Amino acid sequence: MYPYRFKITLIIFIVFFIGIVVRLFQLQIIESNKYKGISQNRRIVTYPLEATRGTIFDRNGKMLAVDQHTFDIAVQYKNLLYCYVRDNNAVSRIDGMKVHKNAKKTCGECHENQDVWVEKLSQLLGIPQNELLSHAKQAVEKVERLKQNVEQKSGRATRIKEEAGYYPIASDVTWEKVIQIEINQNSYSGIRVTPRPKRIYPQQELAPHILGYMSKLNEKEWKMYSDKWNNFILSSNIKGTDITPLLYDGYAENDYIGRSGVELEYENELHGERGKRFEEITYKNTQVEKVILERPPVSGNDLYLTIDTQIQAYAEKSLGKNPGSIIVMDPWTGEILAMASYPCFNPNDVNKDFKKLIKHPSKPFLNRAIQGALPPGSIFKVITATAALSTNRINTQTNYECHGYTNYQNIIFRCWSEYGHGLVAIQDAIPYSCNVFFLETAKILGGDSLYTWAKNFGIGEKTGIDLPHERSGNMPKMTDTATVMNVAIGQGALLTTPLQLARIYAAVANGGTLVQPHLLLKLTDGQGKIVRLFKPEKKQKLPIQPATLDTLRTALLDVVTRGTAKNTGLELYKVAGKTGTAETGRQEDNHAWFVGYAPYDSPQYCFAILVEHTPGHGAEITGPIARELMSYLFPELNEAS
Amino acid sequence: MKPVSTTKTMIRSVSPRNFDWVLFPIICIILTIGVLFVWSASSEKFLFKQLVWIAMGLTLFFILLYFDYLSFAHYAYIIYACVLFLLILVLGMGGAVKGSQRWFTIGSFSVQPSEFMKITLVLTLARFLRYKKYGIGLFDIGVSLLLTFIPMVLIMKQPDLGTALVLVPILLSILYTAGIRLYHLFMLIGAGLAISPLVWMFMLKSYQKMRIIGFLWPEKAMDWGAGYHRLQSLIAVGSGGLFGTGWGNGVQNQMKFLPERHTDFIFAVISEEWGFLRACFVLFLYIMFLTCGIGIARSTREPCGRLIVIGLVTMFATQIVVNVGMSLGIAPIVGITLPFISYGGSSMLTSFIALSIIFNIKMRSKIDLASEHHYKTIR
Repeated sequence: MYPYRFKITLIIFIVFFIGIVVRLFQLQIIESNKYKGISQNRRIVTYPLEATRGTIFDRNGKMLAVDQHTFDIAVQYKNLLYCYVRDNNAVSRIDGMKVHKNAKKTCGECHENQDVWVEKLSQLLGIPQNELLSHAKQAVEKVERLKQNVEQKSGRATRIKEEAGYYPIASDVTWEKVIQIEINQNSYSGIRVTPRPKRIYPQQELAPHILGYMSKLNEKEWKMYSDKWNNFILSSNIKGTDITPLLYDGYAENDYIGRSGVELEYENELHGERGKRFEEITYKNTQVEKVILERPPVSGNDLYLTIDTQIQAYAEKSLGKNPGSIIVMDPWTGEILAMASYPCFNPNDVNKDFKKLIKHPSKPFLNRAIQGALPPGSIFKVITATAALSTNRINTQTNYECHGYTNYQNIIFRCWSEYGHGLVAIQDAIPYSCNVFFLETAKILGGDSLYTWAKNFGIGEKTGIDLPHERSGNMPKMTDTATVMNVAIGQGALLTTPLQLARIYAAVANGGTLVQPHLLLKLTDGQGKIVRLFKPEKKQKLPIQPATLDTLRTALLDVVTRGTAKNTGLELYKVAGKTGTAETGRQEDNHAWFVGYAPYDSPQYCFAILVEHTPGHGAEITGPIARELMSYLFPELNEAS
Repeated sequence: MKPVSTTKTMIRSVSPRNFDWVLFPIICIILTIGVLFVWSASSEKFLFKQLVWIAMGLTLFFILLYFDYLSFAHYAYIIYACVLFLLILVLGMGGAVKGSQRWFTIGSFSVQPSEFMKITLVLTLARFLRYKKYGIGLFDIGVSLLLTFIPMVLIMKQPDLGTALVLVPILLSILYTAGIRLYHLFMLIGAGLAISPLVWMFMLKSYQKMRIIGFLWPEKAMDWGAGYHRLQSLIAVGSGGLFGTGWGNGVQNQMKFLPERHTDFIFAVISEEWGFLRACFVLFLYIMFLTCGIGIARSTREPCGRLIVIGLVTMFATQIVVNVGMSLGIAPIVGITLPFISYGGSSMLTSFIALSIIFNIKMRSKIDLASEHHYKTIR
């Protein structure tokens, strides 16, 4: 038994309490004056510190999108208020304030020359005074409304911390003028220069659909974001010291966010975190006393795309002014090297021309490579052939006689050649794109296995490319043979995007692997350390026999040497591919396709070319485009000719 | 026959007369002050909720008085295992809140097993050490350490540094009153200090380290949050002066500059609005409460009960000292509530359960049969 141990325990407690009382005495009695001043006369004001958005590079490190610093000029609130009072005498609250001010004439130092800033800024920036004053009016009215609300609630005149802030009056001010202000700080009192990042796209109209564009959050969206943020903060049981809600902000009112392309897809990575500065201000004259805390901003991660600026430029040049798209992809990895789509836009001017662009009938914002779902026409025949060969419905010996048409239950299906192709096997059916051969094949193939194979090749499903708003196209369910025949030659309710087709031909080129197309090469942080590399989610090996692939490859090469695309000069570049013409039902309004890969013996590029709504047919439209693209891609072969 | 019956009556001497009529009013005054300042620091909504929590706490308090505390002790190991299991579960699947997992959500209730671990540990340690008063060997110390450190590591992993650290004084005080040799105790403390660098390196998360660095060397503080809290709290306390600004008139409080006004930093609000003298009065109430608690421990002859009381009183004392220290800038900011004053259901219910056990022990004054028997055999 140790009864004294209870006493000692109690004594230890009491010692601690005495320590506490001593500290309390020190704080509340000895140092009281020091703290009393702080809490009554001073307030802490916070300012956001803008974070730099991550830069977007191409695969070789060429800049595609970058934040450039521009400057905002902000003016202290009391100066704005003064001008507002001067111009709008009718407001009653301000009358009261004037009386109050006249009574307190002693403080001339900070109430003098409060309207000088208008004249000075107007002179410096070359902006008319009216415009500056109207900005000022907006800011003042907003703060006054807030203040009225607060005063109504508390029932007495109060000062709110917004009154000590600075409000932006002019934006996008050039460096030279900012220097003027910084040098003559004394004569520009009450004026503050704040840097603000602005997104620019140095390559102008290059790859706008991939990069996307940015625009300001509208009020509703900002509310949504901040509500989300607030709810997140309120619902989390943050314990005592967790400062998170104080230090971090979600999006701010005037923030820009990515609206399309990778700017939207990688918004969270690119955005960065805004910092915050806590300043202590004196309430008497709203002057900054000192900076208490500053949490520096964290810039967003840099994004490296698989795009090759050079190839992208070639692709866009080859496509020219034809409405449509060109995709150039690495058939082995699925890296998109170029993705051109026309009509396009200049992301630098989007915010200026937005209304015009969004209403334009040619839909410049549409990325036709992934969002244009069209019937593939003859391009689809490769799938029909694969399905028929793999299920052993036909072999390389199977022949069908083409008279220019075939019929099924009194429905007549025509071949594109009026006179027919004669006796054709698969080796000739693909190069000459004989409809009859595939129509006859479809009869014995049946809808189910065609559907299964089309699904295997990813028709009717998104490819999973890292771009927003990708279309999945459509793979119809086929119940009767007539529909199957229609789909087998790429017509009917079948819809595909160029990217899906490029991927299918890449699978033929690389030995039967369905790659995942992607744009992300890597994400790096500010120090260049790799944060994230591309990780393929889906990469599936298709169950195609090597013999089938050989047959297909030979046939695709024959398309160029002796088939529908001969005499286009593509032979020189060792291209293998397939032409296609999708009919829309209207005369003289077709979609012309050319999908393939090159060189045929060791595929290096896989490409898809689409020209929408053209009077011409497959090779005559897309052949020259493909030739131009190839002449850029293989310049060494060029010189040989 | 007769001696047996007398022993029986001695064991079961439950009587309302033994209800502690000194301690209870003290708690009531503390509760009233707490309600007043929760009101001042937040709003009527929180005031109402706090009243509901207090009502629930009081009900629980009286219901638990009905049961014999020895039956709690009897099941201590099972309870310990259950709470430990919950702690593991909460690490695995509890709702992650900003990177820390402390909460279970059952319907609209959030349950925090780490709060209950404090009481469970007291019961378990008391149960384990109750008949060891004629000498605690190294084996007993080892087992007690193990019993403490397993939940401590789990709680630290959540991470909830504050609650984890409360377990250490509980262990020390129970070992001390259970009769540990002094040189063992000092060796234990020495070993603890020697191990602390290891804990620093492997157990603490970086923000916890920042927080402690920020406390020891405020000018080097990298943890903006703790620095801001500390500053605002010091301004609040300092501007209170001798008499305070008056209830509901604290600038720091009413202008909402003080973070966590109604929970962790409520003592800063009390100091600001009531001033030095009345803040000292609150501290005086608390020291009275602790003195009464230790008085109960002294007058209890049954060893398990006295160990439980001393453990619970230490729990309260640690919370009070660390919380007030936090508000005054002399303790690291670790997130511990002020018992019976801070707003919050979990902490209020835990405090009332602990209080109920203390009263329970006071009302069932039992004699120590084992030691009586021991004495007899010695004689």
